[in-house]
Amino acid sequence: MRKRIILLVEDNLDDVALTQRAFKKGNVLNELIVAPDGAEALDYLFGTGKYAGQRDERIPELILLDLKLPKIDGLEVLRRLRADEGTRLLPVVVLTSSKEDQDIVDSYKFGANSYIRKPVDFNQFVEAAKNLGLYWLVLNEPAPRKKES
Amino acid sequence: MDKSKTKQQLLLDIEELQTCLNEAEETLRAIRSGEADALIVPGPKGEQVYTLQGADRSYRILLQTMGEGAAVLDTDGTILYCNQRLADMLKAPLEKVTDSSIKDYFSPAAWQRFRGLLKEGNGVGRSEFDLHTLEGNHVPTLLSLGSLPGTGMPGFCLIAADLTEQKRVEEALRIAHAELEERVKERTKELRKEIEDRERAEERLRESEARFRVAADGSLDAFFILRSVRDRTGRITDFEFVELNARAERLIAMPKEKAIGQKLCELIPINRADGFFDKYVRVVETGELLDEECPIAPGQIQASWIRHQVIPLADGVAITSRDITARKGAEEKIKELNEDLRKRAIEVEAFNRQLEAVNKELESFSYSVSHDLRAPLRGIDGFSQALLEDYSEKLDESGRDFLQRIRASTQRMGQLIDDMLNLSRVTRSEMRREGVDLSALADRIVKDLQEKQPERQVEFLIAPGLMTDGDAQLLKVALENLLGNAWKFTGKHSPARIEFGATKVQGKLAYFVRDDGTGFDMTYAGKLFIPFQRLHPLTDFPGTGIGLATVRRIIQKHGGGVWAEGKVGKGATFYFTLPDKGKE
Repeated sequence: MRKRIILLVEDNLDDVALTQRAFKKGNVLNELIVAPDGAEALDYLFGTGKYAGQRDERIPELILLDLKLPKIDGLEVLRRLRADEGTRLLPVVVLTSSKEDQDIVDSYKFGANSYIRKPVDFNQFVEAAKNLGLYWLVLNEPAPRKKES
Repeated sequence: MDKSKTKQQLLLDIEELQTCLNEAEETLRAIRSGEADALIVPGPKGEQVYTLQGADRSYRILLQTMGEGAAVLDTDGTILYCNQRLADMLKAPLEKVTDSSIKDYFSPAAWQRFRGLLKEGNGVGRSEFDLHTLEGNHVPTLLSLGSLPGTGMPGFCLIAADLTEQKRVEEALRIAHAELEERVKERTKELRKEIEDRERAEERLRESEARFRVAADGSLDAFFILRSVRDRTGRITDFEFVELNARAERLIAMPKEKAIGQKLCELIPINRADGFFDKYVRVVETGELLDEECPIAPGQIQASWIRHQVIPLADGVAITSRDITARKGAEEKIKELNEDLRKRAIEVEAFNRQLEAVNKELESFSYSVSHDLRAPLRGIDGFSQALLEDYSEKLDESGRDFLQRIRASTQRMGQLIDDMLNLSRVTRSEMRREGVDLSALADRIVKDLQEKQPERQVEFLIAPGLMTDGDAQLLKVALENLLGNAWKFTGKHSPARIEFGATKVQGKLAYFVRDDGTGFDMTYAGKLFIPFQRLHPLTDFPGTGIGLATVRRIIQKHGGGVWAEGKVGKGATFYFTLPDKGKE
């Protein structure tokens, strides 16, 4: 059985720590891999740069994507993911502080599966993380992968 | 006895013989001269007539050939003799006429008259009669009667002139005359009427001319009539003033009497110098009228801009000139103002661009606030929570209380940031106008409120069917704030009552949200709608003080107004107006 990896694309280390804690509290125990910027997230997903040659084993089950990122921003990451055959169908949940209408609309336009605004109240965040994990990793039936079958 | 004749007797005999001789000599003379054509000689068997054959014959021929009818009548009117002409006139054979009575050819009345002529006039007279022919026709005739003196005959001679032709001619003449008279009469009448008409027309013309003169003199336009002045070859060399009105006198600053007959180019030289003369000549020669506005060189006439219309007229032109100096001045002024306006518009545009840039900056600032300020807050809250959870036993009650306060503060700050962003979003968002059912909006909001706190007892009175035009999204936010406030400030008593409806305030439709809650002091009514201004302590009623500021921005964006009335402990009413549907 392949590990169900969650890729968290997030540059704020506090947020990373809180997200990890929230998942733990919410009993979402999947491996959480963190990419601190858009460029590294793409390297990870496409097996380029420092992740050269490791692509197939490391394809995540779910991507949590912040929008405001160093180097390559979240929307651009999303656009490139959707343009690539191997990552086109991956579930991507935009997890961000922004609740600008434009950001929400753009995210869905570029193919995000969901949009969640990070609440300030940590308890609400835990609740959100729990629901997120339950839905995307348990309830949701992902598209079948060519390599696997 | 003869011997016994005395001398006296002899003398008497001589005298008698002398008379006889005289008489014989007279008779002879008469015979010779043709005065007598017969001799009546007394004889033993009475008087005997001896006609003189020569004379008798010529008279007969004369009688037979004369154009008039002739007859000899006896005293009773019997025709003893008549000529052929009379028989012809009577349309009867000669032998029948002879020995007949003339009476047969008269009507009874005419006969009476004729007889009178015979008797009373002693057979002399002349009169017109109608003779009746045997065929029954009437012949107008002039009858001349004469006695037959010296003949010893007791009859009359009669000459009858046929007047038929004369009568016809006379009748024709009479008719012609009558016709002529009639025509003369008619023509006279016509002429009189013509004369009257002409007089009236002339009168009218005079009146019309007088009216036109008054009108022309009262006209605001100057009016000139010019006649071409030509040289021997027929070329127009100048124009001559024929007529002008009062305004024209003022324009050229010269009385009419002085100007008329003067030459245009001599009197006002710019006409030639500035090409007006050539233009007028062209109008005369082409017959095309000219209408233009032109500036006038200073010092020539009493205007610096005129509009003139030049119309060809007989051998010359009629010119209407309007002084448009004032209008041109105004146009100039308008041009300046427009230029000024244009400059200002450019300034405003530049200012707008600056404003736009500032707005963009503000937007990106809002975005940062949203994104960047919330992240550390999340950290503070999250790690405070982590401390409380993981290190609870190492903290005393007071330490745990501090951490709770830290968390409450961060969450409140998070709320403040969110409200601020909402407010700025209201300001920035573009209005989308559509029909909005305010009653339905209020219903939905109220339902949400009740679901959140089902334990509260609040009576809602929402007027149905309140429709308006506006941005549904923004109006929803406004109503959420107003109804949310009412909900919040009635939280301290039960049952509460909240009302949403519409009323007329100073003749204008105003919507209102009324509650019977805490109310407020009207002294501070002005502060209600200012951001972050609160009239109640946070511990009594939570809130950021942004809600009513947001409401005001939304209503102002719609072009309406918002105000509040209240009393401490007696509830509050918030009113807002939206511009009439029809005016939008």
